[in-house]
Amino acid sequence: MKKILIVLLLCMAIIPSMAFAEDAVRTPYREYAMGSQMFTFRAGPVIPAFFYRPWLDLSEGDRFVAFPDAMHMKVGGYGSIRYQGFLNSTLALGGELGYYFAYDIGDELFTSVPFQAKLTYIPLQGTFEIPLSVGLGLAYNSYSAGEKPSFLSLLATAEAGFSWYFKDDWGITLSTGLQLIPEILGPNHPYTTHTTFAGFMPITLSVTYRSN
Amino acid sequence: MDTKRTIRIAILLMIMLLSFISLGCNTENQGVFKRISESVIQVDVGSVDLIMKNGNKLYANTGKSGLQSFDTVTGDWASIPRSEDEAVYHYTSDGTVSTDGTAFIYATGGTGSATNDLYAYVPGTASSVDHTVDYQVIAMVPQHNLILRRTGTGGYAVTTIAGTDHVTFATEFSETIPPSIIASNPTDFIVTGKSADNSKFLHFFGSSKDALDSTDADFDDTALVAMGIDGTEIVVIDANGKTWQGETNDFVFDAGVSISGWPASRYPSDAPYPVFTEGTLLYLQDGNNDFQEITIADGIAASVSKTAKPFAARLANIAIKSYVRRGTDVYVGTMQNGIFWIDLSDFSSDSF
Repeated sequence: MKKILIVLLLCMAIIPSMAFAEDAVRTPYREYAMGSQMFTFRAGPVIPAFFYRPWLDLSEGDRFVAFPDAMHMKVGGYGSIRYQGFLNSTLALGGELGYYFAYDIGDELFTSVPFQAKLTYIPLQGTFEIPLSVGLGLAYNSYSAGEKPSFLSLLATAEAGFSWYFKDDWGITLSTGLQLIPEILGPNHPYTTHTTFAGFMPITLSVTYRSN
Repeated sequence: MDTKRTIRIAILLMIMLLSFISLGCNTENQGVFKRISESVIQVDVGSVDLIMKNGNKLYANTGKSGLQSFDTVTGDWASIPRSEDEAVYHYTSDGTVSTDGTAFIYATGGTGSATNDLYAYVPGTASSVDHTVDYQVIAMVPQHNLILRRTGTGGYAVTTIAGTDHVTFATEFSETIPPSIIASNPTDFIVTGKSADNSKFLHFFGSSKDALDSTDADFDDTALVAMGIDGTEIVVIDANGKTWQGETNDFVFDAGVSISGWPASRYPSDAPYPVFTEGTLLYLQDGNNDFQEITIADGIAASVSKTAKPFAARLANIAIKSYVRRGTDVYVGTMQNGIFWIDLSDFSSDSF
C-alpha cells in the first residue's frame, strides 16, 4: 500500500512538471498581440430577414415584413474579403469589401457592394475561437427592374462565429449575423413614406490566415 | 496640433459621408426595397400584347410563345392552333368595349416592301384560315379593327378586317418613312407621320381626314403616340410625352403640360403608347411605373397628375405592355407578369 502511495505521489509530482516543461517549449495556442494580422475570405447564402417601413401608409402594405416569402425576395449569396490587424490580444480592427446579390420573386436582381470598417472581439481563443464583430460602412445598392435604380446607403453589421484552427495559421469559421441597409428617402422625396430599413442574415463559411 | 488635424479629417469625413448619404437620398424612384416587396412572379410567356376577349378567353401575342389564349377562369395559357408557323408581326380584332371579338387577323412575312400574308383566327372554330385578301401592312391597332396599309408609292389607307377603307392618303405622307396609327375605338383614330417632303409631321383624324393643327409649331415636330376622346373633347400625347388638348369641332390643339416620368428612351420613339380611358380621364403608366391621369378637356388648364386610385399601387412594380377594355373591365397585358385586370367600378386590380 505504501509502495502504491509513493508511486502515485511521484506521478503527481512528475506529470505537472512535464506539462510545464511542454509549456516552456511550445505555446498551446496562438496568442494575438498588437500587430497580429488576419486575412479572411468569406462566402455563403444570405437569408432576407426583414423590411421595416416605419412611415408606410398602411393602405400600401405592412410596415414590418419578415423572411423571403413576405419580402418577395429569394435567398441570395454573399462573398467578401477582410483584413484585420490586432489592437491588443483580443480586439482586431480592419476593413471588409463584399458583394451581395439576391433575386426578387420576379427574377429582378438586387445587388449590394458593402465596404465597412470592422471591429472584432475574440473572447475565447485557441484551437477553437469565438469571434464577435460589428461593422459600419457604406453600401452601393442596385436593382435591375424598371429604370434600374441605385443608391448609396449606410451599412451596419453585427455577427458572431465559431472558428476552428486546423493548423496554427489557418482556420475556418462558420458565422452568422445581421446586415442592416437603410434606404432613407428624405422629407422632400415624393415617396418619403417608403423609407425602409432592410435586414439581411448572411450565413458564411470563412477561411482565415493569421500571422504575427 | 494633432487635435486640430484630427478635427479637420473628421470634418472632411463627415462632409464625404453626408455627400454619399444625400446622393443615396436623391433618387426619384419609389424606393428599391418597397419595389422588391411588391415584385411579382414572372410568367414565362414574356410580354403580353392583348388582342381581344372572347368569352372566358383573352387572346394575345406573347414575346416568348407567340399567339396564345389565356383562360381567365383556370389561368391556363395555350397556343392557338395555326395553319402556318411563321413569325407574327401585326394583329387586330373585331372586339369592342361593348362586344366580345369574334375573330382576329394577323400578318406574317412581308418584310420591306413585300406583301404580308394575312390569316384569320376564329375562336368559334378554334382554327386559323387564310384571310380573304393580303396587304402590305404598316401597322394594326390590336383591339380596334384597324389596319394601316400601303396602297402604292407613297399611298396609304386605313382598312377594316372586312376590307372597308375608312380613309386613304395618296400623297400626304412620306414614302420612305411610313406613318403610324393610334386609336381610341374603331372609328376615332389618328394617322400620324412625316409629311411627303419629310419636313414636318402631319396628323389626320378618322374617316373624315380632318387635319390636326395648332398655333404652337412644336405640334408638327413629332409623331403622336396616344389619344383619348370624350364626346367632342380630345387629348393627344406626342412622342416626347407632351399633352395637347383640343375639340373635334375644329381640331385646333393647345399645348398642355409634359408628363413627368415619361420614358427617357423608347424604341421606336413614335410607337403607340398603351393607354386606357374612363370617362373624362385618360390613364397611362409612365417610365417609373407610376400611373398618370390626364384630363380629357380642351384648353391648357387640363391637368396631368399621378393617380391615387387603388390599381396604381397594385401595378406599381409591373411594367405594362397593353390594355384591352371590355365593359367595366380593363385587361392588362404586362411585360413579364402575365395578365392583370382593373375593375373600373372601384378601380381595384389584381392578377388572375
